[in-house]
Amino acid sequence: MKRELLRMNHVSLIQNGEALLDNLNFQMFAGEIMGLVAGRNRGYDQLIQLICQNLPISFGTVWYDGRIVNTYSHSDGTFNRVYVIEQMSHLVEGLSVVDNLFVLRKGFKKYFINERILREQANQFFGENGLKVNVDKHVPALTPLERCLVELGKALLMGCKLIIIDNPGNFLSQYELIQFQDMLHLVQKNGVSVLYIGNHHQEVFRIADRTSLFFDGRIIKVFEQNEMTDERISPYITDWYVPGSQTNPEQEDGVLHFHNVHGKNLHGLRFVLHRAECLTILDMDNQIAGDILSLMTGTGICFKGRITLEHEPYTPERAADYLKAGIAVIPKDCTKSLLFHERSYMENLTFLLDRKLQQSIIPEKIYRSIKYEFRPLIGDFIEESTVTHLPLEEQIALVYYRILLFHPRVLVCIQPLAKGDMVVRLRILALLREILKTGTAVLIITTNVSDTLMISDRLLIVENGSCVASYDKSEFDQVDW
Amino acid sequence: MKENKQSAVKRLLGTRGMGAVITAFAGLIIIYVAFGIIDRNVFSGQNVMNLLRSMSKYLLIGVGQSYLLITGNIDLSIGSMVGMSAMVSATLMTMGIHPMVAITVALICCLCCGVVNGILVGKFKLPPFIATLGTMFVSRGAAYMVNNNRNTDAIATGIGKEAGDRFQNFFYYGKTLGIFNTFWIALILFLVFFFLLSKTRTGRHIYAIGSNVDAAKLSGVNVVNTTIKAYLVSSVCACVVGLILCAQAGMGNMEAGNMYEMYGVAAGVIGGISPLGGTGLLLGTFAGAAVWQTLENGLNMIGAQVGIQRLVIGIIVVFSVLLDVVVRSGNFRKKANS
Repeated sequence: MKRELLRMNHVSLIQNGEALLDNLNFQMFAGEIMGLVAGRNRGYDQLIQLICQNLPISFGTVWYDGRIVNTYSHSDGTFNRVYVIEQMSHLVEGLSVVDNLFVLRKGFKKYFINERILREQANQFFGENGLKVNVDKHVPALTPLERCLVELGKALLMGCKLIIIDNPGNFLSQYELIQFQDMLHLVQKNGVSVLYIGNHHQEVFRIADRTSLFFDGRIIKVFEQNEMTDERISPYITDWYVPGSQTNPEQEDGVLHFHNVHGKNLHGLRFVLHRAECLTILDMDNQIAGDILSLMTGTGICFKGRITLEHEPYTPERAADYLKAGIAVIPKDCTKSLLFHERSYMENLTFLLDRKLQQSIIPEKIYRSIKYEFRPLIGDFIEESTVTHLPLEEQIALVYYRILLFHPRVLVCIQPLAKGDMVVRLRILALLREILKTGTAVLIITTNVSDTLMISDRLLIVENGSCVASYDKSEFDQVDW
Repeated sequence: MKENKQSAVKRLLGTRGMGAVITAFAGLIIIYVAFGIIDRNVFSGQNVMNLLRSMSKYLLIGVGQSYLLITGNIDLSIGSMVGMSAMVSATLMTMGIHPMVAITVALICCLCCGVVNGILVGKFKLPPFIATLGTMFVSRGAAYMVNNNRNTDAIATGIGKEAGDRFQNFFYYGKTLGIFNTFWIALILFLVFFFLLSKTRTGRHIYAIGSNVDAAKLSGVNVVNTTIKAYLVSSVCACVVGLILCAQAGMGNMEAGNMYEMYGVAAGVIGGISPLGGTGLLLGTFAGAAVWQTLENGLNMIGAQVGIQRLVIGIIVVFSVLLDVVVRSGNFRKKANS
């Protein structure tokens, strides 16, 4: 008989008059991998927080490991033995793996530390649990996969019975993800439960025993093993399956050419990007995004091969002023790396306008006309004096509107759908479609293609810095993940 | 038309940072009226003229420092550059060199300091506090060395009484339209830099660097050049203040501009320029400089001890920064709630 580990019964959480969790029912068994796909992220953070810590709730009851830990009438704020592995590391950067595992553990009483013994213990522990980690490394030297495995080990050492894995596809490469998922299966066999959260249902379905679909503070459907298919989930996310790209890529000469480009992690990468075309590069090793970004922005050099932009060599000198050359980039966490949070919406929107118009002083009437043009799309947010308080969806949209206004020849996006729920991702895809319609060529570099394919015209699979496969839109269903 | 005017006023009042500016101006009026009630002479025309002239130095230093505060940096060498400018120009004039040449040389020296500061901070990523601490000592050392560790003689001994008077009148003692030239010089420079900051691409880049330097880089802003430009503005301001002090004393003083870097920071933060960078209006610096000078002037007129003056001014500076931090942390809380 299955032992219940976590049960959330009719849990509601109302904050500032907003129902973040709304009569939520959620159940997990010991030794189970439960998938969680968020359709809309409202209440998602609170759900994770509530599983980890018994904070006050407005209604309902929470059981953890066979006892009531939280009710609407009494919440003691204690922590449940739950560990979250997410993009942000929970390890202390300056210390070694063994220090993080043993010395920083509650109950470690030794004053003098014998590193040799600790290393032996760590090796033994990882070996017993089937985890492969080099314990001699310091935390900064760990690869993302190693970091996750160390955290996994730490969670087991702490005696956590539930481990939450929050969107590993955002920080692990495809290869690493597969290895990590194998490790999770090993951990599962030891009776530990895993809540596996993913942006893309395809990724979650691959590993989970069951999958819950979270939408606006509720679990609207739990998919059993035999139900975890695209067909079964599609009625719940109908909006998501909008028709493919509306663009009609002109099969003229390409805008951007990579001719056998070699860089730090690039080993003979070649591709051509056409006007108004969306090309997705699936980076299997999670290595090339930084290289391509640095080549496009002039901070890196091409060891061998060449890049041409509209048949003109795209030299480091030209790349140093990449905006002038007509290249725009949207890095992974674009709200942090592209927005000026204390400036107004209009200032953020028009930040690249001086480059577009090639003048330093821009007449007020131009700002007025932009406001007039964009107000129907943006609404009253356009009047905001800072963008700090904007919802995530609007902040991301602002970045894309800025690009739309700038109208570059080529837009390079790094993992554009890594952040946000389905609604946000849908908005991003719609904005990318708008950008494509203006004739801009879009290059997407990602470690997880599932949703990106909705707008892509071609897909390149890059492994070890060079292209190993190429698919046209009509062949996407043949791609074997 | 009326609607347009209304919306323009509304827009102006809605400008971010305008709240701090209005608060500073309100504080200025309250302080001025309070001192005026205690001593009627505070309201006298002569005192107002003197007040405007005295505040000009703080205004210029404040403008220079505000540019750097907005970029998230600081310039500790600005006071020493004032001293260097005063000593270089005075020494040259005592040697009989034409004032225009002396001014140009002083300006070049200050600009060199500004470029060095900008390169150290912008290109080599030195902490601005340390980089400008170094140039502070170098500039002060240059101010000492330029006349063999002595203050200069009167500038009139070199360029003659007539030219000396012309120089002093132009920068300090002369009046135009009934107001001292010092104030006009400061006002013109203030307006130029105000325009540069609020209406030009460079101004936007300066705010962008202070707000989010990574975003600025990815948006094609040349961070090194923009940082250098901000330090150049600060050095120009320091040079002009040095010339004003030289004209005021009629000679070069090695200790001229001592502690002015802190006066500049104070004028900025009282006027709502955030020491954390990215926000603030130069109009606030105007109010900050006026508050500073009015306090000094008022406390002097009512016969307060120097210790009391410093104490009051110190409290006001801390209060202003505290207000900025509280407002910012309030923002962050709201963000977290949302």
